[in-house]
Amino acid sequence: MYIIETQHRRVPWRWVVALQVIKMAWLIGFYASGTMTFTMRKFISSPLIINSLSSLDVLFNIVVAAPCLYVSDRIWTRWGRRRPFVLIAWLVMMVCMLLLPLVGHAVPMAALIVLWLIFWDVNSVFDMLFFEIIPPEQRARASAIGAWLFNIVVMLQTIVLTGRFDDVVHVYGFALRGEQLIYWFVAGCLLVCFLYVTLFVRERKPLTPPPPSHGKGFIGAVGNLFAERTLWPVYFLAFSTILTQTGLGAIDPLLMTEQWGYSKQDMGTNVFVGGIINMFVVIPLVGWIGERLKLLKMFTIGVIGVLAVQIAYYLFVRFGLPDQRPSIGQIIFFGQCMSMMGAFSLIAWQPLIFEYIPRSQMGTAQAGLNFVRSITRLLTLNGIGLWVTWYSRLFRPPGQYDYFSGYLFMILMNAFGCGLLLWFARSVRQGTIKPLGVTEFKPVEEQNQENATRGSDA
Amino acid sequence: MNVLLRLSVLPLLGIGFIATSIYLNWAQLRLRVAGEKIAGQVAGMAIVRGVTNDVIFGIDTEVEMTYETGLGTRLLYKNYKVDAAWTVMRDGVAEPLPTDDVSGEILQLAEEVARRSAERIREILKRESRKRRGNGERVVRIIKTETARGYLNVGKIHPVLDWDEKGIRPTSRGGQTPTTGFVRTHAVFDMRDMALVQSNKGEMMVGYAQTRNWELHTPSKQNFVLYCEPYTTEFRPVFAYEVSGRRYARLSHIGRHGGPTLALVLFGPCWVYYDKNAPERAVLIANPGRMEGGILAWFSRLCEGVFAQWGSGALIVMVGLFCLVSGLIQISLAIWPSKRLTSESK
Repeated sequence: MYIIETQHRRVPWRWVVALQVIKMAWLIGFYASGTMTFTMRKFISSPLIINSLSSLDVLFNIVVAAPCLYVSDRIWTRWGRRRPFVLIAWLVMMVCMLLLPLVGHAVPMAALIVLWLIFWDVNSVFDMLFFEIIPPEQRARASAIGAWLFNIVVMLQTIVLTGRFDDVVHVYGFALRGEQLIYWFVAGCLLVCFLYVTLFVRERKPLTPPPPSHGKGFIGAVGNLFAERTLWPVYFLAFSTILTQTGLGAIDPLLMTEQWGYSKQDMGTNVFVGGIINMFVVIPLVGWIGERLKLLKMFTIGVIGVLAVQIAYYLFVRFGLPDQRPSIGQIIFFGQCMSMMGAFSLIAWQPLIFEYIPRSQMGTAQAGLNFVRSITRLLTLNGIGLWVTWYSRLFRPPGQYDYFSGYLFMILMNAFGCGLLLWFARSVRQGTIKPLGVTEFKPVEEQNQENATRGSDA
Repeated sequence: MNVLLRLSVLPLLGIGFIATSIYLNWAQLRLRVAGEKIAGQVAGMAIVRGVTNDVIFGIDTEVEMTYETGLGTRLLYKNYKVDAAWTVMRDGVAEPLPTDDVSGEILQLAEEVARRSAERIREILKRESRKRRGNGERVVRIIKTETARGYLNVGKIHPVLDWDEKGIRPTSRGGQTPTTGFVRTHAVFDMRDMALVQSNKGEMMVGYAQTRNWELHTPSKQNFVLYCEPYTTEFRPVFAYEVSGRRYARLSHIGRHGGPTLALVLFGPCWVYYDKNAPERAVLIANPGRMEGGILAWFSRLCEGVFAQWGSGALIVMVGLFCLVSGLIQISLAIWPSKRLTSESK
């Protein structure tokens, strides 16, 4: 059968490969958002506005993606329940990509970027469609194929696409700008996705009825997430950890290109070489070390390690380098050290946080965690934009920005997050916060034994 | 929808994308594959603004560096090659100095100043102030005077340029012969008075002036000729080569916004592939040169050269390949249905 359908127990591997190819084309769109920093920079000089505009993505995760995912579980149309979201999103995103390189003013540019970010979140329903087609028993291998293809997309993006932004190619009296090329390439990729899903993907109506609606609307849903006091420590842990992961956001490319004077191709090379080292050295090394460490120790090493490397990097660039401009090799070295330390905390974080979530509240906790994560990222992204703007206003000549000063903000946030984590660890040791995911959990064997004992007593 | 029609949409679209890419790059591809290879030079830079454009074919740069002792060195560069040197005394009197007598370190520093932007000069001075603090040899002031010679305010630049003993020249159209002019940029970066620098929030540029044919001009950015344009201005290299004693100069089909490309350095070497039967038809291919300035910088130059040339075509081919691969998988499913689904229905 050449029509790909949802709800099958087993599907041909060719479906999986075709869907992964489509997903790869789709992922390229995700990476195009990184290039948008340079488009914004053409019209906007303030890092605060650039980061605020980019951080809307996080806000739309909450106010657009979550409702779309929720509604897509509960509707049925003649075109299915996920496809309408996906197809409409791709159509609008295609239009945004076609128009974005043609606009000549900040207002339509911002409108198109906001529209793109909104519909990027509408299109998050595609993941659900993908996993509805691929049955559980084939998902592991599908993910492996996907991970492999994902690496190719990252390589392609960094080495070919990023450096093309400023290029102009003259053919047959027509000038094709690199910016147009990148965005129209993304539109082309989305067109392939659109045609494929329109022509070859069909949804079958699920036999099980949709889950009931809670009927309280968005505020009611958010209220429910925070009503449960046992989950507060979990949210606190998440908030502290996200603080320790504060990044430069959209101003990172501006630090490389504008402040340090590297070309966009240099930036791509940096990520490409860093990515290769990450894949073949850092990840296996972290895995090897990780097997020999306890979760909490690994998490502590990760969090404190990132803070230590950030401080070392800041001091090295500010006071160690005579011209305060690291070489590409130095950027890669410190980037990999941070990535390695970050990987420790990332690997340990998920299992660690679930030790504090009662089994009966895992769904609520997951939703709440997403909410806390998004809000914290929204605050830190806007915070760093504000910090860089004010710092530059105080210490730089007019019109010049010290993007590297963002590292100070990152260090402060990281140190604050570490302080909160220390307080959390102390509360756990004192018994004021309990790992309810461990203490309240009774395995089936234990429950059976208790029932049997009760039965014999009776 | 008809099955055949449905199955043919993606492969046809894929073939369409690939054919478009080949069509757009055909002239360059043909020359790259079947053309003759010859060493050429990036002989000039077209600064394309739209209505009024410049073609720069020569840059003379005078770099004067003053040390903490009050003494200084002045170097004159012609097209980024050192031509003459002087020792500058405390009273400003300059005495000629053989260029071979200038230390390698000073030459390297001065060449960087000659080639690079105002931002880089600020960084160099900052580096000097930290690296050689308290050392008499520390550079505390840099004066750079750059004179870019070329054809200024010309209209549309034809891709084929003239090249004779006087240098390259835009081809005259409609009886108008373009005349040469110059853009002179003079900038002074001074760190001698640290209190003044600090009160200016670290700004070291204390003087800046640009003239176009003796007329004072305010560029978009206070910088040198290759760095002072707004982002919309395009930089297109002009490459020159010689076949059987005849000289040719052409405008490259690849350009860049914001500044010249890393891979095609002005007055640097490049490869040219030309048509044996019509040598004026040629394509410029970047020559990343020897592995200088670190392997990563060289790799970056190599990638920039390759992808600036072929990246656009490759990306269009890639969209075509997405269409072809996914479309062919669907055709294969229609011709050879999978047994995994049929076994499930049984």
